[in-house]
Amino acid sequence: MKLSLLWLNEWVDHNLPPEKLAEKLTSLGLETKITENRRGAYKNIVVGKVLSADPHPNADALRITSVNAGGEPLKIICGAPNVAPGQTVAVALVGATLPNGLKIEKRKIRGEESFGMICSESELGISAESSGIMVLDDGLKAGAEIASCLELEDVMFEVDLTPNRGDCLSVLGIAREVSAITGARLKMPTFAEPQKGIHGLGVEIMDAEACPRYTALEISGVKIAPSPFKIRRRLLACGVRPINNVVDATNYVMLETGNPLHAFDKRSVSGAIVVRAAKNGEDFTTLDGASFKLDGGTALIADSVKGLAIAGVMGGLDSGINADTTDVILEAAYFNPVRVRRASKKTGIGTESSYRFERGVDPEGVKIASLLAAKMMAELAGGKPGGFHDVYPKTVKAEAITISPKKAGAILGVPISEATALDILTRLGCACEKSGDGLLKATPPSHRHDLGTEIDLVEEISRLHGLDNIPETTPRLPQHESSREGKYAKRREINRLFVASGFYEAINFSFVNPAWRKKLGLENGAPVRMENRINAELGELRTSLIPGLLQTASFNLRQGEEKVTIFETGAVFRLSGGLVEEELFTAGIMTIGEEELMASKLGRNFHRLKGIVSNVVSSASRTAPEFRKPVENAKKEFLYDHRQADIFLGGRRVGFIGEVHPLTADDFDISAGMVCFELSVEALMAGAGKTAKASAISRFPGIKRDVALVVEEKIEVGAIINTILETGGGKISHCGLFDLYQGQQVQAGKKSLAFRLFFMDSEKTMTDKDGDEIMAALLEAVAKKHGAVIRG
Amino acid sequence: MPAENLIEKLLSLKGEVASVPSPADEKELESVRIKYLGKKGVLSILSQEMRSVPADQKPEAGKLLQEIRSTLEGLVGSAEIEIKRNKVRREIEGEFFDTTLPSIQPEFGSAHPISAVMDEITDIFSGMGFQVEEGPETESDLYNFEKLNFPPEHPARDMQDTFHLLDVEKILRTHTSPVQVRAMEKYGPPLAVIAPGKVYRCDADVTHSPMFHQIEGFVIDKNITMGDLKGTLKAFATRLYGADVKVRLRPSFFPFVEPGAEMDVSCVICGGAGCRVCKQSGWLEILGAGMIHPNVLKASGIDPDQWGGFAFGLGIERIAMLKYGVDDIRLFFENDMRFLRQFKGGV
Ligand SMILES: [Zn+2]
Repeated sequence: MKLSLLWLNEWVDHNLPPEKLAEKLTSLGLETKITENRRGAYKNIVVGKVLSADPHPNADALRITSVNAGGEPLKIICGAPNVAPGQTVAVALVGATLPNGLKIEKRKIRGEESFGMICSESELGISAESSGIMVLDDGLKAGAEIASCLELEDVMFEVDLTPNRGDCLSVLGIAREVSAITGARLKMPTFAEPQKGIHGLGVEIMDAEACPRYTALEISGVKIAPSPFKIRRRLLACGVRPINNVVDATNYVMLETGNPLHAFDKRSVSGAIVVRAAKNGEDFTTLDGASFKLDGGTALIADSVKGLAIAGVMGGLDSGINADTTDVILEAAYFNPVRVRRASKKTGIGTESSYRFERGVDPEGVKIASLLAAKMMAELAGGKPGGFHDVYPKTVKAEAITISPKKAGAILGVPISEATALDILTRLGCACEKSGDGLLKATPPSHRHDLGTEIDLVEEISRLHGLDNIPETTPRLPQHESSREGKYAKRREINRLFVASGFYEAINFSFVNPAWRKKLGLENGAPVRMENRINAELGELRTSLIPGLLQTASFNLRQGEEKVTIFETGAVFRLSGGLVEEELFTAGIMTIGEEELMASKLGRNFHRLKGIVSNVVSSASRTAPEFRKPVENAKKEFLYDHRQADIFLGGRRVGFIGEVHPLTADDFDISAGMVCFELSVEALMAGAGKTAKASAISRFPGIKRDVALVVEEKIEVGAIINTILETGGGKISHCGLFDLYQGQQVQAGKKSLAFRLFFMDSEKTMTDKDGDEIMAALLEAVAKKHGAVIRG
Repeated sequence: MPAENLIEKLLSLKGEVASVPSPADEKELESVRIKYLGKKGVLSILSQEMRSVPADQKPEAGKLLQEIRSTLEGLVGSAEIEIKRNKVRREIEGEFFDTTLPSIQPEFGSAHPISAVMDEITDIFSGMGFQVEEGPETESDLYNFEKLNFPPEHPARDMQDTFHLLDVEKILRTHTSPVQVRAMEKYGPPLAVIAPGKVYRCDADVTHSPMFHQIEGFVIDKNITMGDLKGTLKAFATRLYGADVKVRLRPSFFPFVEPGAEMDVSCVICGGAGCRVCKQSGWLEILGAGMIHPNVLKASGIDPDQWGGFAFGLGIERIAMLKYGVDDIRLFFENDMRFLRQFKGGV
């Protein structure tokens, strides 16, 4: 909310400099910043009278004027089309600096000397109006300082209000806080009691829930015209567009007291004003011409024939103030916050009025607001206040709250005496009384809808007592179970392992484009769709991390990266039985540089990634994973047919690994040969082994043997290794492949595999004879199972 | 053979050995070894003569013999090391070895800066004794709002632009605060929890991302005060920013705490003097906090007359932007490797 210091000063006596005021309000929870300080910004800018305006000899668009600015007439060159003799204007004299920083000097314009400048509203920093010079009231005296005449030396603040403080959405609201913290007097106006009832116009509340109080005041004989400068400036400074003297008065008083008002042209009201719920589907056109079919339950201000306004939100097209309006019915009311909010949400109309009603206006402030506006209409538009209807069947009254200052002190951690609590609450406008046992009974003022329970009052005490006055203490935290084994810790461990393996961590949005999923053929598992989106494309929650990583890889390749090695650990989402299932996944993708393209043709990138994944899984789960060929119908479409495997842990499938299919790579505009994996962290945790138990290691020397076997090329190496390890009877402690050869040295369709074996016995030294026996058994087994022969 | 002869011979040999030059190469070394220490070497021959030496002269002769042997063995031993060293030295002599060539590194990746900051903050609170809890990212209105004292149709809900889901009565959680309620229901009091995680709001610009990260922390116990909140947050700020950091609390409003507050720290860029980042105020707002509202305790099955607590929540991106000097939040989710690579060592 924008706040004018000059305006505030009309409501509260305080002697705070602007910076101090901002600091005080901030310390009260009303975050306040100075946005503009115009003090001293209008030196040497004075009122001038245009004596003459003659053509410039060298420029059609310019005029040579003579201006009386208090002394000798000044020659000023002016480019404004509206300049004319007889006008009262604002003149920046030589030596002045405009609010926008422009320094006024004596200078020549197209060969003619100019001693100053006649200013527009824009040049004076009042509004954006720059099409012509600002024409002032003729009553102003030539040479008078413009700042004092026009009240320009203001300081503007931006007050960032939290939604609970609807009571501060006005000059009065802030003034009340200033008064509470400084003790300065609040300057409330007083009015004579208006005459009761309006001749020929009844007021009836049919929906008392929506409208606990409705007042109507008649003002007759207004003459519609623009408001004077001071009013317009204040409205503009607070972000409200000036319209005419009557409408401006309603807005001005709303900004001043926080009570929204609405003015109807009396001619448009037939018979009576009725506050009622709209009929379902009832037609209504707002003053800006938009048509609505209202929901039943929307509170409507109507007469006996038609709707006049959506209560608290916006007036209707045909009932507002026009240029020829003479008699006004001024509405001031208290509408139910929830009902106004619903109407505003339903219609999509948010106004200064609905904003305030939603946050709760002061039901007791309604009458003062109405009388203030009537007074303004009398002064600005010559209107005559007449009768007043005040329908307020049941006073909106706050309940008394019992508060224990001792308890407040226990919550805040600083002793609060009864006297302190009493003083603070009284300053805030609560009616307080002692109720024995050290307790107080405090009844909040009508403008504080946010005060309803004891803790609300404790907060008030903390605000005014000052949070700075609470000492810092260190609590003894309660004991708790260890969280080291939790999912968060496991995620961190996995992340560290991937980082140590050369992967960069990415964080992608959880929402994705459904088209990405479709491109990957990830049709199974129902995605969770989003009702509202940050952009039209990102319409569902991810069911896999892979699409996001492919996008990220594609983006980086386009940025000129040669190698992209990224991973992500995050939740994926699936719709299942009407519920959302969330599962923590980790996935990665690896591209290769040019020099490794050859390797990719042989599928070796797959094995490199497999090695990394195997390391990470083994380390994070204390169990070595198995990589199994997926069954034919479980193959992933987006992976290269044969270059994919399922990852198993303790007999459970926990994820997959594979090379991205060339067609998918094309779809995502990434290079060929990219390999990826995805794992469920939760499945990995479930399949994790227990703490490792040490087993005895052999103290006896073992022996090393190498063997080269020739087999059919389609025989899987993994199967041969399994056979070798099985036949060893626990005596083969290592079996490693150190060469794989296909080519001229072996028969076509066959491959040569060279293994390094290590034999060891836990009972005795392994002899060459023992080794020969194991070797013989092993060769027999691989020959029988896999048709392997020793390479001769 | 007369004994004088052997002692004389030994004395003369001692003199000879003392002046034997250190062998310069393996060949010389071998000839010295053969000549003096070999099976048929000088020492071997002289020691055989010991047998015929009279008993009273044996000790002197034996002593001399031993001295000569030590001298020779010392000579041969040190020459052997020197020769090997010279040989290695010769092998790399004249070689140009450039220690400034780029290292051959096993390539490390890097943790995402958001993860790094989140882990750093989680560790600070874990170290104080908070337990880590996580909650679902898809939440119900009940846990995200109602149990946190956001009445239905209250303008406080406008503070958070919510993503709604189709087909299911869920939203994407707008803050990590629902974990407060979930943890209270799961464990009951007393409790000290830190809850890091992703949150979502339908909002996007230079400082707002539709997905971002928060850390929620809270303590429930008997006799917890707002002073405890201040002390805990001060300790946190000190560990995050160092002992010189100043903190201040300002009253603020979050429906689930009362009294509510925001915490500012002295600007980490200018130290409080005023700069562009802190908008000349010298302060940076980094978190929201307050005493847990009795309605939240009640909604979580905890008796507010028996127990009280404080809670706080902070945005990781904001802290990370300040820490790393990042001025556009979108950089965090673009995952440009040129950006990510700048955070190596953040593990
Ligand atoms: Zn700063």
